[in-house]
Amino acid sequence: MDAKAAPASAVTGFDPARLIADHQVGLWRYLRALGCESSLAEDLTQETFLAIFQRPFQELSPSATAAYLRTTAHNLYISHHRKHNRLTTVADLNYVEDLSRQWAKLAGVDHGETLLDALRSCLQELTERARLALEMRFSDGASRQEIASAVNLTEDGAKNLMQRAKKQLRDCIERQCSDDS
Amino acid sequence: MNPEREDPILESCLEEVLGGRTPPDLTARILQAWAVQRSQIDGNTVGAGVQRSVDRARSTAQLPPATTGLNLPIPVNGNGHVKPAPVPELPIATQRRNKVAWESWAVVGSVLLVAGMLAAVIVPQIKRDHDRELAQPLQNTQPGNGPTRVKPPQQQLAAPEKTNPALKTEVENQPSVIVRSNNPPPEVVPSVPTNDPQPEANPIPQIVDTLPPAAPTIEPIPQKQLIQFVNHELSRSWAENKITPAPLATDSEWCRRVYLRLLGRIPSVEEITAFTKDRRPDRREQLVAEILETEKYADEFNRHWAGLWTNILIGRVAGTEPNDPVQREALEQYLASAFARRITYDQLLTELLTASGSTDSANIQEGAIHFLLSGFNKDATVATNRVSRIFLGVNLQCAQCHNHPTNDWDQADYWSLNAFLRQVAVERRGKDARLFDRDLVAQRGDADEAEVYYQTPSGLMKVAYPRFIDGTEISHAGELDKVKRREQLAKFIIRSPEMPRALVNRLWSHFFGYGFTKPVDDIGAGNQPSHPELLAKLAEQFVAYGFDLRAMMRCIVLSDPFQRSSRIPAGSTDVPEAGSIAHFSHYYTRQLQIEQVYDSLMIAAKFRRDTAGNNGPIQARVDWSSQFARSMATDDMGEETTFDGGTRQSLIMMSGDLMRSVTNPEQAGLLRGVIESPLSYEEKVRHLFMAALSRQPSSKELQGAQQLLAANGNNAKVALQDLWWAMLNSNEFILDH
Repeated sequence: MDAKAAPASAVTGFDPARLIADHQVGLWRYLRALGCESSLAEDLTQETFLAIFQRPFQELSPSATAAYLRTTAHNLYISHHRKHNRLTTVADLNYVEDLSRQWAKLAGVDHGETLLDALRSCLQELTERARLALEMRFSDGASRQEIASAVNLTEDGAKNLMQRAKKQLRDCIERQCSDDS
Repeated sequence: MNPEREDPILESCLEEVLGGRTPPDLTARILQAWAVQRSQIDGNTVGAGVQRSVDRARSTAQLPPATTGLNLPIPVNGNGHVKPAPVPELPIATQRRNKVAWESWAVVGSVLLVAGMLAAVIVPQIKRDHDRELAQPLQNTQPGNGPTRVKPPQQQLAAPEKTNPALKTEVENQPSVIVRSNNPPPEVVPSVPTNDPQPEANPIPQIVDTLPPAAPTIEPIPQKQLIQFVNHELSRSWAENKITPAPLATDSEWCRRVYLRLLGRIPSVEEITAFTKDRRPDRREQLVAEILETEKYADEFNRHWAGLWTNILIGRVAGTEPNDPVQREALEQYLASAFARRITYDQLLTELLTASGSTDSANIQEGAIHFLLSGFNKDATVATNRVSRIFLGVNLQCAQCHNHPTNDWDQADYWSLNAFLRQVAVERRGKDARLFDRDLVAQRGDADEAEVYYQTPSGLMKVAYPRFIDGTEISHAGELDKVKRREQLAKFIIRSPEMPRALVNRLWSHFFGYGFTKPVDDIGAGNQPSHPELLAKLAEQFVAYGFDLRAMMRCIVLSDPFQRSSRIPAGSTDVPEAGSIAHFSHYYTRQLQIEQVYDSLMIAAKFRRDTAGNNGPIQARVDWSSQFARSMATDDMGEETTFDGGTRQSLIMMSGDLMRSVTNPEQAGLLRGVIESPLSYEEKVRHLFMAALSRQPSSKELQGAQQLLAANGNNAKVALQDLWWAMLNSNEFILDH
């Protein structure tokens, strides 16, 4: 990216509305994958676009633009956390970078659509009880106690059930994504 | 960061799929905030384009309440105008520096002092333990009681394991200070029996187990079928892009370019004459087979490709300085001998990456060391750049200092690849040098955790261990009896999908002047290939053919695009010279490479001698070529050439020693033979045309030759000498077309 000349808007063919429309979903999901809550993800998505609009850049390809946006968002995310003293060690930075790298490899090409499709497919492979537990947790925001009661397990049992289910989902998704690639 | 989340990627996806937390449409909100920002920059004048974008967005999406960064509502003044959004603060090292109080330095100093004292006590003990365990297999070298297992390589989707912050220290703003923290032992997990359903405990992985599984064996398809695939893919591309391909090249045109590309020189008069008289329908296949497979051309073929690969591996400048231990002739000799052995590309790559030896050795095989020796520096950064660029088609150089701006490579990727090359050492002995492997011991004295250090743009010092670009790690050990990192790297590269793709792209570029990407050695998300299916298929079959370079060459030179004329059809939009994508609908005219000019002059003037086992011709060519190359003294040992059609090239071509020699009628060679032959003047002119331009002269050219004869007082010797000089300095001679 050459950052010498006029603002981004001056670059021929530069269409901010299209750029936002094309990349906001992927960017928002990326920030969520780094651990942002929805509201923070929205704010940082906005800040990312505002930051890149300040500098001209050439759209080499959609994937290159997406990578550039992710890099900017990543920096803003780090900056945000530093301001709030929530990210102070090398280990924290490594953690974020690992997440970032994983996302780029799993979902960087199509804004996460393939990843979500894989997840939907993998959910079908779970047992009824595991799926119910995850649905209660992620759909209804149920507490562990409520989940344990619903699946007729102790709280620790419910926790183990969900951990194993997530592990199974991770393996399944990883397999599917590597098959697709 | 949300510490409550175990796996943010998976959980964010679950929240979207199960919880319906889908991405919002932020278009209008962002455009509005941008318009406000612009209005401040432009003096409260929102650009028309921006306003149109906002209007368009308003028409398609409901405009949410005006907000700016971090969910703060945009203040609205009395005129109804929104106030500018605050510009986000970007990480600036200087800002952080101001925040560091002197107390922090005191704390860091104390930690370092304690760490040093602990190290003084602990390191000798570890060393004693380590020496005791050296003879044991890798799996038994881990500390701890009872059976242990090494933590397997991190899975792609597994939540990244957070390093214990206590074991690592951030040393912001101290770029020159390397942290000497307590030495973290290799992470081991006791294998405690449990009732939970656990995956069966795997045996401790041997080094070879860290390699990714080999790709499923792919059956090679017949070469004709592969050529048809190439033709079909390009025909489809031409039709899709409404490009009319050039007509087919004539036999003499095609023959000339085949000799140039496969042997690095134009055909001799006898060769071009024999081919154009050949009436067999498969004469082109026969010629390619003769060049690639027979002893007649073996030496030339090996020498030509050795020269080409030497330029790729170390450039043209390396080895030309008086005190440089690098000897390009030795590397060329090694490569020529390797091609004579019909080495496959995977073997070649392995030999180049794992070579050890001395520059004063008489063993030709040790010539391979000059690849890594060239530009060798303490951190092996030049070697890292070259390995990734040449063998993987991935240009990681940006990531040496900062994360790649358009691809997903970051500094950790670069330095993890670099860690594979850090066991290499070079010992200088006067002008000679020895390249060898030695145990890599980290600066803190631990050979089981032999890391490399690098600095981020923000001043953080970080460590990296050998990890291939696909994320697979190997043992962190730095001792040679536990792991030979270079050998591991070679295996990784051979199994990677990047390697065959990079090689095919480079070969294609050699034959056509353009690869599927520009440049050929930087394939990535920001530089996608122009014909991805074609590149993928050729790469797949290159592996299926057992990394056979000749098979791939045969396929390319017999493909339809290589047999197209260089004449561009009227209205064609296939003009990669102008920066567009190459569609290969015609043969791209380009200047011969320096070495091709030299060898073509040699063959045209009949100066070629028997060169089998003789280093003299290689040296002469190297000497001639090196006058056109100049080092740019950049970090990646970049070079520039003055063989670019400029004044220097013109002067050397017109009046240099080589040109004077090949156009001297007193010197034994083609010109003298033609002049002294009993042929008529016209026949002599025809012979010279065939020798220099691989074609017969036109009637107009014959007429010009007669005028030249008359202008020289019917002195045929002088006229032919002038004509010969003019042809060797013509564009037609110096261009591959």
